[in-house]
Amino acid sequence: MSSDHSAVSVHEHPPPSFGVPNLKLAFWLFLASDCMLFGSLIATYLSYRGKDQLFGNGPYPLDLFSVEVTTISTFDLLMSSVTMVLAVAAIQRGNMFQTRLWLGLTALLGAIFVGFQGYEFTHFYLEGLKLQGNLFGSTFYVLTGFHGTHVTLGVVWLLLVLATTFTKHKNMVTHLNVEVAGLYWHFVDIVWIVIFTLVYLMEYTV
Amino acid sequence: MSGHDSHAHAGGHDEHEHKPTSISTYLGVAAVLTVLTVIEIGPLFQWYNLGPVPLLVLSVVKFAMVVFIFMHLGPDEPIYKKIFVPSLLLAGLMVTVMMLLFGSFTRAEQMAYKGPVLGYVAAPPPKVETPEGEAGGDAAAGGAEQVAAAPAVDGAEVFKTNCVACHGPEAKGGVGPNLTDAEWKNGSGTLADIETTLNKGVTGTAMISWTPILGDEKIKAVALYVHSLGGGK
Amino acid sequence: MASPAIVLPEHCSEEKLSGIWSWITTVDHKRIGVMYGVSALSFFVLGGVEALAIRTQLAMPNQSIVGAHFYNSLVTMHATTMIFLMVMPLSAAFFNYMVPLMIGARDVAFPRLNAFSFWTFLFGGLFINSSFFFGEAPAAGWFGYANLTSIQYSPGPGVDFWALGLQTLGVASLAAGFNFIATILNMRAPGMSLMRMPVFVWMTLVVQFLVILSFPMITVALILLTFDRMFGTNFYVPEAGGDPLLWQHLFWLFGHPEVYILILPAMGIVSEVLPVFARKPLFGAPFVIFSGILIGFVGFGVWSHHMFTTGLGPVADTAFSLATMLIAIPTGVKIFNWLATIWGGSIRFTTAMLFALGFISMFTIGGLSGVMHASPPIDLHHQDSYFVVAHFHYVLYGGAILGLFSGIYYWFPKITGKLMDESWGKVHFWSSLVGLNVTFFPMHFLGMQGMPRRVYTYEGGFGWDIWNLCATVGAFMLALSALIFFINLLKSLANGEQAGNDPWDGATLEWTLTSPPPVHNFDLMPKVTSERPFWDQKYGSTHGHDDTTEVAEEEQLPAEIHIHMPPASYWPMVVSFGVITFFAGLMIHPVVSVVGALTVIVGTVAWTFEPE
Repeated sequence: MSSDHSAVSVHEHPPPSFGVPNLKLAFWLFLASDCMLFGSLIATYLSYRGKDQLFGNGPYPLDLFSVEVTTISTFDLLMSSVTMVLAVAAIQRGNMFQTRLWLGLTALLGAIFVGFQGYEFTHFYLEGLKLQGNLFGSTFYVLTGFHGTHVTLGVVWLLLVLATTFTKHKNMVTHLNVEVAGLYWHFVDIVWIVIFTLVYLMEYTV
Repeated sequence: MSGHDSHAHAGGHDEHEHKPTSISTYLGVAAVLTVLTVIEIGPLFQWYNLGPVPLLVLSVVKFAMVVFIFMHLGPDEPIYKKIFVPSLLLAGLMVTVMMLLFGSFTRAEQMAYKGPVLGYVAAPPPKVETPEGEAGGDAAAGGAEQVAAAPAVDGAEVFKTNCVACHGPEAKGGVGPNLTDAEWKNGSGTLADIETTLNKGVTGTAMISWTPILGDEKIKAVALYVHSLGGGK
Repeated sequence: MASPAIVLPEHCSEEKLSGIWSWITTVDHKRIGVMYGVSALSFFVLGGVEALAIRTQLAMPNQSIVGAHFYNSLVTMHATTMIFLMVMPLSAAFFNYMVPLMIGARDVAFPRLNAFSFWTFLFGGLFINSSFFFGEAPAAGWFGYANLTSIQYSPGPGVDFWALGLQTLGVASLAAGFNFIATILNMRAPGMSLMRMPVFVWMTLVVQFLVILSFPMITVALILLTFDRMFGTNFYVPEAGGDPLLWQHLFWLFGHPEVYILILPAMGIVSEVLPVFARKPLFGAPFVIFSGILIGFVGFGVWSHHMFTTGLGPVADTAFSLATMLIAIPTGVKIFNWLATIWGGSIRFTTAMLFALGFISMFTIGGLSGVMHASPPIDLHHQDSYFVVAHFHYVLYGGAILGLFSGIYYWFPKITGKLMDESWGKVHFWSSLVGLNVTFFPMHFLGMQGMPRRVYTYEGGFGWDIWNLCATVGAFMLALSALIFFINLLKSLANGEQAGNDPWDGATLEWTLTSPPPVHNFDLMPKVTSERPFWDQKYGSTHGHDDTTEVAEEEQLPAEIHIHMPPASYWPMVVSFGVITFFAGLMIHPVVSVVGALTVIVGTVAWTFEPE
């Protein structure tokens, strides 16, 4: 970088910049912020949890939850994190075929998850859980709905990356870009780990 | 590449400086995550029970594995950890304080109570007339009725203060008769009959008329409580 | 030693840089900073007019110059405008213009994202204010408490404008937060370690962390409110078990860090201005920095001090009260360090310096009344009274605004190449200082005498009349002082004295450049050997190091240096337009929102594939 010839050796002082890619740094900042967003939604859910029971205002979680749907969709999302990690590893090795394969699989698993969420919402709605009905309805649909929206946007992102590998812009799909997409995807998975525990599993404890 | 600092890779490299995690490590982590999840779903299928604490621990372990290994937060430059971990802790703190402020932890105890529902209506609430013009909108209608129906007085408390002296702490009897069995000396154990006994007393016994002492609200509450003890019809 | 020739790309030519399209598509942090500044000052006038309307209505008892509902709108819009459309954007103007210069960078990390933040802010601000023309300006207060904001009690569109407008502004601020943190952490010149950064840059860094960690709470609060109003959910509906306090918690979890977001930039400016005009380094700079960090951090733990009268209980009250009192400590540290900076210095009373000194005194007064209501029993009397109004106007006008004016007088020469007129400047300062005290000091008395806030009129005979009249007179003094300022601004722009590179004998990197700086900022990356790099260059090393690097460098300069500056782009504005369309569509028709969302997606994709 010719303009940096004036950048003198700085061995007597520590290097100034963190020397990390701007995109990755900014993305972790975005994830930190998104933690607070989901934190607020989860705080709302947990602060209102159980209040409907006090007023006798159902339906309640245990009336509605399907253990099969919950289990399958949780494993599905977990596996999608594995396929994502394999996609990042593939592009680091320069293997475009595997990168496309694992990206595609991740997007597919993500879409399946969204499908299960849609099925669950429909089933709950038909069983009488409305957005407007009680606190559980409001908090459940909004919390899991926002998560589901995040997953959907992630699927779109992954498909766009996948599509780009087939166009003239394919060299824009760098390790860094796939890695950042991966960060988003894993984040969506860890939020689900939290929701799965606090919303679903907690209803089955002693 | 001339000095365009505004480029996405300013100052840094595109590749990791650290050794990339191996595929076998990733697959190993995937296996562990699967096992942990299988453990977690045990209570869903009623294989065994798990309390909230073990479940939280399991989920924290899974969370940490995905973050530190899949998201590479462990091996990557410390700046990412310095950004993400405190934010996570702040979020967790916020959730905990909010729950405390909203009484989530005490409410959980109430929810977990498996015995007679004290002070709250166990049976479907009686229809209460909502005053004209109150709380418009579908959202409010169901809730308003429930709120109006829930008595403000705790029948069990009334019983504890006034009745245990004769009827025993579990209402199983003492000086006065057992109120938890199906045998009723006065009336037939319906809610109305119990209320009548409370209001009128039983002449010739120590059971006085409780109306002047308790008032209507408390009478109704304690009658509800007694009715729910097992012998009510 | 021959200076190398600087070769810039074709899109940086004179011809490409003129005309309105060049401003619409600019990604240059300096131009974006100017646009933020112009917008902020325009909204300042709007918010000021709203304030004058309020004060006119309250000048005497039992007036009906404005009706009750419109008065509520005035109060709401005055605050919303001043906080979100004036103080924050004016601070952003300085972040944008000065931070890259102060750290030796050519621009921010993501120039197009920077432009996106500006246009999104502008569209959001215009959207909220359009409510005046589309039925009803919001009238539920800038803090929008539930369930006044429910569809039942605020059936008009005002609250929707407010909620959706704030969401839009939130998107703008968040994007800027990610951008500036990445810039400050990653793009400093060689030799500029974190502790060598100017304090203004440090305060910017803390503020951006506060933004990215606190804005999500208001995002959620507004989402829940919008859902309640538009989709019938029960988050804040008491009849269905919802709790209006949920709103208050979420709002103040954001709202309290927000007040530090408002004040820390001004504190950063003061920390730059005082040393220059006292000709002494900032006393205890590390302590000033760490105090700023502490204030930001502890600021997340005090939110319920806005809720002492909501029945939280003694445990919660005590915890929040203690945390609030603790914040006074790092704040005090900063004040003592500023005083120590001036003590024994060789002081030049320029306008910028006067405003900085005014900041210290007025902010201290505001801080004292603040500490008073940190005590719950006292707050029981202060809550919702004019005492609180007095407090926050001292810290916001006496603090943030005076600090920002100091920044304007200090950096105007760098931005425009001309000096602002010092005589007019001094008149501006003294009329502001007197005006703000005449307006806001009597409000302490009004509060003590029990006058409630947010009420459109009052009965005579409580002893309030004289103080209200006094406050109104002061408000018009402030209006006059603002007029003087704008006249000075325009006059100086037209024919102010040439400033040169370094009119104040500054110590930081921005003064090494021409006024205004060239498009590419620095010809050569500066090398930094202390926290006062320019001072070192002029007067020798601050810490007595022998600077041998200067010599070694001479031989290495090439004849020509090609600098790549990012090209202009219209995609940021397109995506911004998509964002506001998405939110506006929620009030118009779902199809409009869909169009907005698609615009965002398509625009983002196009932006990604645009050649850099």
